[in-house]
Amino acid sequence: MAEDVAVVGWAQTVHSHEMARRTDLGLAYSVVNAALDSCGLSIGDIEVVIDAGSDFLDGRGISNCVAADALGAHLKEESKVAGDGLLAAIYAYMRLRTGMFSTALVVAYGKSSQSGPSAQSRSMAEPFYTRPLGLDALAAAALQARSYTRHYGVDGSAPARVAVKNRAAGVENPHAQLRTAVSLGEVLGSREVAPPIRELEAGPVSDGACALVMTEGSVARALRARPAWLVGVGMCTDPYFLGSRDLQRCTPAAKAARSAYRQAGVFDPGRDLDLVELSEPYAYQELMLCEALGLCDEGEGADLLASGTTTRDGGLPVNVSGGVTCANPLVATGLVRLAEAAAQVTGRAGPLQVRDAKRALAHSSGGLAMQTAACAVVER
Amino acid sequence: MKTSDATHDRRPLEPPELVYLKGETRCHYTWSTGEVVGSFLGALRDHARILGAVCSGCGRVAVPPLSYCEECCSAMEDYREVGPRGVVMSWTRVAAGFPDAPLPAPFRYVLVKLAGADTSLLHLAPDDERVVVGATLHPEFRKVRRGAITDIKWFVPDESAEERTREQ
Repeated sequence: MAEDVAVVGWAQTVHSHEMARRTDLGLAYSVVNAALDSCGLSIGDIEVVIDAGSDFLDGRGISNCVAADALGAHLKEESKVAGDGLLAAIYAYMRLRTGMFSTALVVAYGKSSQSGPSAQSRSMAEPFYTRPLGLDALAAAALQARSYTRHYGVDGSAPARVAVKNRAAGVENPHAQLRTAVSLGEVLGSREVAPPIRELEAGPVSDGACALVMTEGSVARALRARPAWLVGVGMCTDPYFLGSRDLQRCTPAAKAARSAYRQAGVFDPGRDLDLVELSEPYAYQELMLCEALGLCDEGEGADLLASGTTTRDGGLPVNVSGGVTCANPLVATGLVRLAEAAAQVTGRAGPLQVRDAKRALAHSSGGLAMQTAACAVVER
Repeated sequence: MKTSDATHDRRPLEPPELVYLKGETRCHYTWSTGEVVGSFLGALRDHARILGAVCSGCGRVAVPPLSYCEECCSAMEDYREVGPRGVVMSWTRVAAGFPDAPLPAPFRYVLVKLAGADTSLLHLAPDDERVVVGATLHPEFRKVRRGAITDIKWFVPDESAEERTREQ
């Protein structure tokens, strides 16, 4: 058994709406060596590769058969998660904790420009009750947004204010796709693409990739004076069918966070965390997630936002990277959150650095309307 | 396609314009809907009636029915007729059409909790300002039904269903 596991290296692409100069595997490959270089390891030092990809986005079944070579998995143990990359990082964490491996490479990539995000999310629909109705991720999120905002009487401008906050933060993020600020008037005046969701409250869809190098404690200490220790993880899933869920709250995120907090010794997340990176493809989700993660009470996400606590200079910055509002490389999104969190707690976040950040939470969601959640706490 | 006779030209090549290849994944499926989903779809097709499944463990009534309870993992083997009326729990609007859309845009998606059900059914509704949370809707069945969730064309506000009945 390995007592501790750390994130020692990371790299992500500059996410954009179409990275035509690289194939999907070229995207993934581009971050593999960059992540290794960032911690002074070479591919020969890596014992296991865990990757996250989407067969649908790639257009290949069991797509890691082709992908593994690009991920440096030559004659190594390799395994794929058909879900967000943060899950891959948690699987790697568990492998390292067993003591069977001492080094792991985690890679997640998504090239949505090859097919299109609506087609991707419609392909996820089960074929009997949902697919004939054509439901996509945007419409599913809109049904959740209305349930949530109506139940708690959330002001209609609150999601727009999330978008304004995150877009302003994203200006400083060298990896973000959208690096321009927007005004509240612009967001409120943007088209209702699926009411109550407005166009500028939805993140872009990006091509992008992210890779992390994770090791057990003794390797981490030898490599880095200050590694990002992964001290708590959690995962949880809700029913698939929207009508079978409590759409007013994000229970999977609450349970995943509770598990991560328990392991990490986080008792009061509002005080014990220095920053939070969330996966919020739609702005209202940040409000729900702040509640689910215990950063405020139920139904008070909009009040937390209004208090300024979650801005870059607030007491608990949420999405100082600009979050998914500014870049959404499907499948890699959640792993990017962990890379950002690791960079923050090790003082390597460059222009995004939150002063004296010691402990951070990274969150990912998957499925329609945040069906699944994963959380990881890193600290220095 | 390009041909070239400059086979002996050994000058360095200029980088080409990016090359794109088009393709698609074709795969035809014949999904057996199984006993439980099949019972629901058969009841829609043959009787224009809506069935829920009753959980043998927790008694929950799920619409649409599944063979397993999503909450307690018990088997769902009994059926109970639900609805046909239901209350809107949430809705959104689809403004623009898309390939294989179930209806011409605009239309609404609704989560509708049918009478006697413990879950909400995802379905369609007209883009009618009366389709809001709390409104009571009524299914409009298609005349020709083939055993699909779209055998219900959509759920319409109660009033307009009645108006339509009166007009006929």
